[in-house]
Amino acid sequence: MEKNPEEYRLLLFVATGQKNSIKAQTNTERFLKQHLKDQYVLKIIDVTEDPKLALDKGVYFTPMLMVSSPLPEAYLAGDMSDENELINTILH
Amino acid sequence: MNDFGIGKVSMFIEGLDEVLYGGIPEGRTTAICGGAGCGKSILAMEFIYRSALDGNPGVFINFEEYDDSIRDNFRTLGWDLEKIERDNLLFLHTPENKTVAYTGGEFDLKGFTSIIDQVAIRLNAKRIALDAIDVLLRSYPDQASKEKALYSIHKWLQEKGYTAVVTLKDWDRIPESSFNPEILNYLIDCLIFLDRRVENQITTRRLRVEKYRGSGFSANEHPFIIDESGILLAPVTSPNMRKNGFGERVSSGSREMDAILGGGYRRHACVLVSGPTGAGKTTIAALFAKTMCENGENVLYISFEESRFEILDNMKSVSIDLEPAYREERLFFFTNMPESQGAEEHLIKAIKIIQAQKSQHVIVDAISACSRMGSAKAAFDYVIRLVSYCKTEGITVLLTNQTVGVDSMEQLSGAEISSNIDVIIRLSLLERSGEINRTLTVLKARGSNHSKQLREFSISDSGIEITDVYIGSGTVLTGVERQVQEEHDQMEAYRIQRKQKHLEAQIDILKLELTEVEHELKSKRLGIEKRSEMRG
Repeated sequence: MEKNPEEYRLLLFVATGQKNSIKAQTNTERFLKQHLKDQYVLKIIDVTEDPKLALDKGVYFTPMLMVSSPLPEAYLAGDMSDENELINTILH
Repeated sequence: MNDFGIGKVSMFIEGLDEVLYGGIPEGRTTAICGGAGCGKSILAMEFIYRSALDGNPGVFINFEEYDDSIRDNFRTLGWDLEKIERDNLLFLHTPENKTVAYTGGEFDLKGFTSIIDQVAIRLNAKRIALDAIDVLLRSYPDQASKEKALYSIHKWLQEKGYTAVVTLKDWDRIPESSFNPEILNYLIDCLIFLDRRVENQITTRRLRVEKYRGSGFSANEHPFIIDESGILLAPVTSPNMRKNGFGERVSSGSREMDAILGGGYRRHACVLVSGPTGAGKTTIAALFAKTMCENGENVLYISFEESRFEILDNMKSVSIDLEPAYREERLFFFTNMPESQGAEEHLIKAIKIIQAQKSQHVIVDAISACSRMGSAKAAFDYVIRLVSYCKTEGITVLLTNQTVGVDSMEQLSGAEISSNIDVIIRLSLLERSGEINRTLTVLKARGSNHSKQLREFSISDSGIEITDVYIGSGTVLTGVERQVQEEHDQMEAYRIQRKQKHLEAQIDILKLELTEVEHELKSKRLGIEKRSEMRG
C-alpha cells in the first residue's frame, strides 16, 4: 500500500506502569486524533522492553515523543498536556 | 587501606590511587569537574577501559559527543574500545544531541535507568561512567527539575550499588539557572577537580581532590599529563626525603677530579656543574655517564640543548666515546626541546623513562634551559620535583647549569635549588692575553672532604686534564700565560739581582769618592794651619 507522503510518523517512548507515561499516551493520542485525523502513525515503545531503540535515538527521558517524519526530527518531553507546545513543535 | 570501612576501587591511573589513598569509593559516586578540554572524559574512560581489561566490565555513556568519533579519539591513546565492546566488557553509548521541547507535567529518567540496568545485568557490569551529565540536565526546564533529576540519578546509582564516575563542567561555567552546586556537593561522595591552564603558551593540567567522604586524601594540586598511553600524575614527592643517606663513592671518570672531590661523587647525591657556554659542563657529564655505564650501571641523559647525535659526536672528539654504552642500552638519551611541552609533561615523561630503564644515574643538561618550559616557576618545579624523586629513589643526579655573565651565587646554585644540591662544581673561562682557559672549583661537597682550590681544567682530543694552577702575584694564572709569567718572573728576579749588584758597585764607587773628598778636605785644612803659623 502506498503511503501518504504527508503522513506523520511518531514514536512515543514510555516506561510501563509510570503515571506520567500513561498520561502522556492518553494526551498524545487525543491530540493527534484531533489535529491530524488519520494522517499519522503513532508507535508506543516501552523502553524497558526495547531499550536498544531508545538508546539509538538518544531517548533517556520518559515519557518522550519523537516526531520522525516529517523532517526535521523533533523531540518532546513531559506528559504532553501543554497543547500549545505540541502545536508549535509538531504542526509547525 | 580503608579509612572507615569504605571499599575502594583502583582508577588504574598512575599516581591517582595514591592521591585518593587507594582509589575511588566502591559502590558510590565520584564526580569529576572541570572546563572543556581538561581531560574529564579521558579520566572517566581510562577508569572504565582499564577496569574492563582487568576483568570488570563497565558502561560508558557520553552525552556530549555528536557521533562515533569518541572511539577514534580514544584509539589515538591506543585503546581499542571496539574490541572490548565485542568481548562484552564495555557498553559504550554516545547519542546525538537534540533539542527537547517541554510539554508540561513531569518526565524522568526511569526509562534511561532501566535501559542501563538491563545492559549492566547483561554484561555483569558494576562500573558506570556518565560523561557530561550537565548536557543531559540541560533538557530540564528549570532548576528545581534539574536538581530533582540529579538527585534521582544519584539515588539510582546508589541503590544499584554501581561504582560510578560522573563528569560535568565547572560550577562557574554552568549557567546560574542550572542547579545549585551545593546539591552536587551533598550528593556525591568523592569530588575531583581538573584544571587546565595556559601560561606562556604552554599548557599545564592539574588535578585536585576537593572532598572524599569517609576517607583521607592528598589535598594538594597534582600536575598531570595526557600522553600517548593515557593520564599520568606527577608523583607525590616530599623534598629532601632521602631513602638512603649518601651511598658509596663513584668515580667521576677523572682521577684528578676524584681526588679533588675527596674520592669521587657520592651515590644518591645531587651534583651541579655550573658554568658558561663552552666551559666543559657536558664533557664532565658525559665522562661520568661513560664511566658509570662501563661499570654496568644505567644512565639516563636528559638533554635540552643537543640531540643524541650531537652529544655522541662532540664527545667522541674529546675521546669520550659514548657509543658502546648507548648500543648496549646502558645509556639512554631523552632529548626534547624545553618549549615542546609543559614542565609537568617533561617531568612525568622523564620519570616514566627512569622507571622503565631503572636508571641509577640521571643527567640533566642543562637546567638553565628549563625556564623555556614556560616560566621560571615551571623550571623550578621541574628541577625540584625531579631531584626530589631521584633522591627518594636513591638515584644520583648530575645537573648542568649554564651561567650568563657574572657568576652570581644565585646562578651558580641553579634556579635557586641550592639546598637540594650536594656538590657544586663551578667551571669558568678566563680570558687573558688573547687566550681562553678553563678553570674548575669545587664550591661545595656535602659529606666529603674536598679541595676548595681553583684548578686549571683542559679539554683536548685526549680527554680532560686537571692541573694545579700557578699562583703568582695575587691572581690565578693558567695556560700559556702561566708559562710566560713563570719566565717573566725569572727574568725579573735576574734583573733585580743585577740591579742589586749594580747598586752595590755604585756604593763602592761613592765610598771611594767620599774617601777622596775626605783626604782633600784634610790636606786643605793642613795648608790653612801652616799659613797662619808663618804669619804669626
